Order: sequence, then structure tokens, then C-alpha cells
Amino acid sequence: MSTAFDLISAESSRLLHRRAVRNAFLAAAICFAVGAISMFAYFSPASEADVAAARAKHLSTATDSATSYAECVKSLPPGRSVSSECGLAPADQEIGNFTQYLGTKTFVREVHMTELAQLIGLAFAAIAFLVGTAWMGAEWSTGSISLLATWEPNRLKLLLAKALALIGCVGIFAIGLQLTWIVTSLVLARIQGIAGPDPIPWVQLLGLQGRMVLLAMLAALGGFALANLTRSTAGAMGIAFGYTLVVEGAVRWLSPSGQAWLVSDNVLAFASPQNYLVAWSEDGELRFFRISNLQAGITMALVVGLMLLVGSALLRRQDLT
Amino acid sequence: MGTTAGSVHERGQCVAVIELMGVRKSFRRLGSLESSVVLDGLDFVVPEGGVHGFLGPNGAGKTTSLRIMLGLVRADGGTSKILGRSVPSELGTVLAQVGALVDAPRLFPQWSGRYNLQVLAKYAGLAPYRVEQCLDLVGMSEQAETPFKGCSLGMKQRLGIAAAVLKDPRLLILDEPANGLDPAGIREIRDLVKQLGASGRTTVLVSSHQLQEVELMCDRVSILSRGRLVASGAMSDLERTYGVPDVVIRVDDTLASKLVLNEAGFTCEVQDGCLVVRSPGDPAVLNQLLAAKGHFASALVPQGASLESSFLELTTEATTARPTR
Repeated sequence: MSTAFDLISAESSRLLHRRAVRNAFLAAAICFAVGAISMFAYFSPASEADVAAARAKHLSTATDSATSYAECVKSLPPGRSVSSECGLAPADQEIGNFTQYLGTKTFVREVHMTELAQLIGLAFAAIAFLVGTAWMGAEWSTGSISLLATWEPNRLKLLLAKALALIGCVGIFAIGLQLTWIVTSLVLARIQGIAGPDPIPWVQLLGLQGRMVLLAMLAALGGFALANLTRSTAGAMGIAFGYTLVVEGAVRWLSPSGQAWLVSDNVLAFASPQNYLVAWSEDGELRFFRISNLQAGITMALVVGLMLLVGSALLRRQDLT
Repeated sequence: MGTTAGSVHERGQCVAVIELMGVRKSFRRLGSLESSVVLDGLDFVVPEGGVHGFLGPNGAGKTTSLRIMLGLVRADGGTSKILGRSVPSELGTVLAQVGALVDAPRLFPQWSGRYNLQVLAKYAGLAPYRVEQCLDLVGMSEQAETPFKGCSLGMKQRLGIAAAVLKDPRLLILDEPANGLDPAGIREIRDLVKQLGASGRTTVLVSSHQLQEVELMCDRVSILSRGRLVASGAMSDLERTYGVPDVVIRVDDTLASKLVLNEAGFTCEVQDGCLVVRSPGDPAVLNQLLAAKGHFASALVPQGASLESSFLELTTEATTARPTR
């Protein structure tokens, strides 16, 4: 009887030797390298005077916005909706940061490190989803599941070993990618940007990067669970595409408040440095709600968990032919 | 009549390594309320030791039976045991002693044969030297680095067998092991199977369509037809009981004689200048038919009963439609 270590080790070997999986990881590494080189070309250093002027301009814009909102609220006749007449409160408005007032495109360490870590995380989560679907889809289409079931009769143990191997490999790659980004961004800031005087928001940055690693693992697990249900890569991709296009589109159109439960909104909320704001107009009134990182994480974990649970139950009962 | 599987077991002559009792299985057709009955109360027992042939026409339920034994397919009813343990509930306790090759070998296409076996060995915590032993056993040591997808059908089959024997199993289940092999390969696999069966440690169950191969390598045989066991026992017993001997006729005009017998409904062919009539029953009838058309036989010799004639005798009804429920 195989031990848990034997199983996970064997499954990791199988995963990392799948051509589609290797290509996906290679594509992620190449995209990262090309992106990093492009950033060195895109950004250029700014003088201290330019930075000071941009900061001042950003501060005055934020102050103006807060003042006009306060005046609007003050002059509002009773019974009128604040959100429809005056818009969002300054705290909820996206007024950006001082970099948008810089004349040159400069890499600002404390701003761009976080923003680009988020972008890298989201892009890798999409690749991780593909890795999950390709891995499990190929395991079904090549008949490997039937073969392996004659080596490990406990199908749930087999599925668990595959899932652990997958999230282990994806997690390690995602951590590597985020660590490489920290090093790259420090070099970028020194050569093509501003390294200070503001400190790096380490807590916010590492928190975000941690969530990005978790997101990649959840995305891989989601793809894996979907491919296990459909028993094919193409089927899983088709369902994911159809869901995003049809189901999410329909919910946004017919029941905007249901957006809190949509996967893509929760992905963005989980990847967001602050609470994620969903806003829409209903009966001429601006309505909105926030999704916290925790809420988004729990929602996504429940969706993936449910898919895995159904897939496991089916695998346990179904004939392997 | 040959010894039935059940009676072998009941007499307690041997320990059963496989024991299927009243096993039923039907598959529902997609988009249909009807289901197709594949196994209809199958009783099948394989005693320990030797090589046991498992025969049946296409669609008789052989592969489904093998899958049920391995826990891949769940039976609708009946009981299944291998090595004395219930399947699928207790399969985990004995699976380390069971090797199997069911259908085509399904190894990883991009990996070499050696790496495929090494990874499978990891699942069972086997020592790496076992992989080399098995590659050597099936004559694949020199081609072990070829990616599985680049292997010929015969090489793939050998690797499938190597994977099946990797665990040094007490019970080895092989589904069509000679598929795709050239004559030399078939002989090697036959010798290997016989050697394993003779070792006393491994019981080999071989499911095959190649009656001649089964005849050459098996000590015992079970014949399945329409989801039921129709005969089981020692090869010689089976041939003696069910086999209807062929008749070899020496006659001047073999082609014209063949035509006469064919018109009368006999199956015959010309071999070495003689006419061989398949399982004709009473040879005197043949003589009478030929003489009536002016063909006089100079010799009319009944041949020993073969597995083929036993098989055909037992499974002729298999061509009729399968029942549905």
C-alpha cells in the first residue's frame, strides 16, 4: 500500500512532466521576463522637483474633491439621495495617486510594487486555472485515472494526492514569481524610478502577495475540480468560458445585487488592496456595496470546495471504463 | 462435462484467488431507458496457481468482469472477491498483490518506458531495481528510454505487461496480452506467462480471443457467453467434453468436394491437399454426400477435439441478440 508521501511524490512527477503544464509554467516565466524588460524600457527616472509638484497636485485634487462633496451634502434638500446627487463619498472614490500627475512615467516603489504585484498575481491565477484544467483533463482523457485506480484503490485518496500535488507546485511557482517581483521592483526603482522617501508598505504588499499566491492555488484547484467534473480539458474550459460570458453577463444585467456572488467580482475583490466596491445604478439611484478580502476568499473557497465535493462523490460512485 | 468453476471451489480442492458469484452488471445506453445486460449472474472461480484462460466472444462481458474484479466497475448485484477479500470494500488490503493489464496499456505518452514504470513503482513504494527486473523480463531493457508514444504496439504491450508484473503479484490479470505482438513476441509473452504460472507464486488470468494462444499457455479455461459462465475446467476436460472433432478427408477433387459439403451446410477448408471439415458430427454423412456426387474419399480421419471446436460449440448462441431490461 502506498504512503501519502509516495502518492503525492508520484503525482507531482506526473504533473510536472505533462507537456501542457510545463508549457503553461514556461509561458508564465517568459511573460514575466518580457514584462520586466518592458518595464525597464517603459519607466524613466523623475527629478525630485517633479515628484514634489505631482504630490502637491494630487493633494489639492483630493482636497477639492472632499470640499465639493461636503458642500453638496450640506446644500442637499431633505429627502434627496446623497449618492445620486453628490456621487460617492471621497473615501470610496478612486482618485488615484500622485504618479498620475508626474510628467514622466516613473516607477514609484511604494505605489507600483503593489499595483504590479496584483497584476502579476491575477495573470498567473489565469494560467494556474489552465494548469488545473489541463492536468486533470489529460488524466481523464489518457485513461490514467483507470490505470492509477489499479495501484491505489481509494479514489478519494488519489484525487486528494493529485490536488495536493497541484496546489503545491502552483503555490511554489507563485511564491517564486512574487519574490522575483520584489527583487525586480527594487532594481527598477533604483534605476528607473523613485526609491523613497516614503517607506515600502511591506505589510500591505506582503499581504497582497500572499493573497495572490492563494488565489493562484484556488484558481488551479477550481480548474482541476471543473475538469474532474467534465472529465475533459475542453469541457472545463467551455464551461468556464460560458459561465463568464453568459451567467455573469445575465446576473449583471438582470440582478446587479447578485454580483456579490459572481466569481470574477470575488477574484478582483480578493486581489484588491482595499475593500472592493461594486457600484451600479438602479431606479436612477447609485447603489453600491463592498466585498472584503476575507469575504471574497471564503466565497471562492466555497465555490471550489463545492465543485470538488460533487466531483469526489461522482468519482467514488462512477464506473471507470 | 468439464468441471465447473463452482464445483472446484465447493470441493475445496484449491483456494480461490478470484470468486465472482451471481454478478450482474448492465449499462444504461445514453438517451435510452433501456439498459444493456453485460453480466447476467456470472459465477466464476479461479483456483490458485497456474494459468487460467478466460474466453468469450466479443461483448460476452470479459473486460467488464475483469474491471469488476479490479474495483474499476461496480457490479449491480452478486458478490466479488479476489484473494479472499471483497471487492471493492476490501480491495485496498490486497491490491498490492494484484497486477493487471486491462485494455490497452495506458502509460504516460511523453515519458520513457523506464520513467513510466519508475513513477508507478512510487505508488506502491517499490524499490527502483524492480523496474529494471521487469523491463528485463519483457525484453525492453534496451528500448526503455523510448518515449511511450514512440513505441510500437508490441513495445507498448510489453511495457503494459512489465507494469502489471511490477508488484511481483500473487494474482496477475492480463487482458489480451498478445495484442499487437509479432510471432516472436507472442512466443516470449507466452513463455513468460507460463513461467509465472509455473512458479507457484503467481496465478495468471489471461483473457484472450486467440484460442490457439490460450490452448498453448493455459492449464485451465473458463468460457463466458452472454454474460454467463458456460464452462470451466481443465483444458483437456473441456476439449474432451465439448469438443467435436474435425474430419480430414483425402479426396481427388478437393475443390469440387468442398463445394458439395458447403452446399450441405458444412464448414470446410482445403489444407495440404486434404479437405478439413469443422466439427461435422458423424463422418459417415460426409462420405455419403460426397459419394452421391461422384467424389470417393480414399481416407476419412477424425482429428482430436480442439479448444476452438469447444469454444464454438459453447458460444454459438452468443451471436443472437443481447437481452435488454
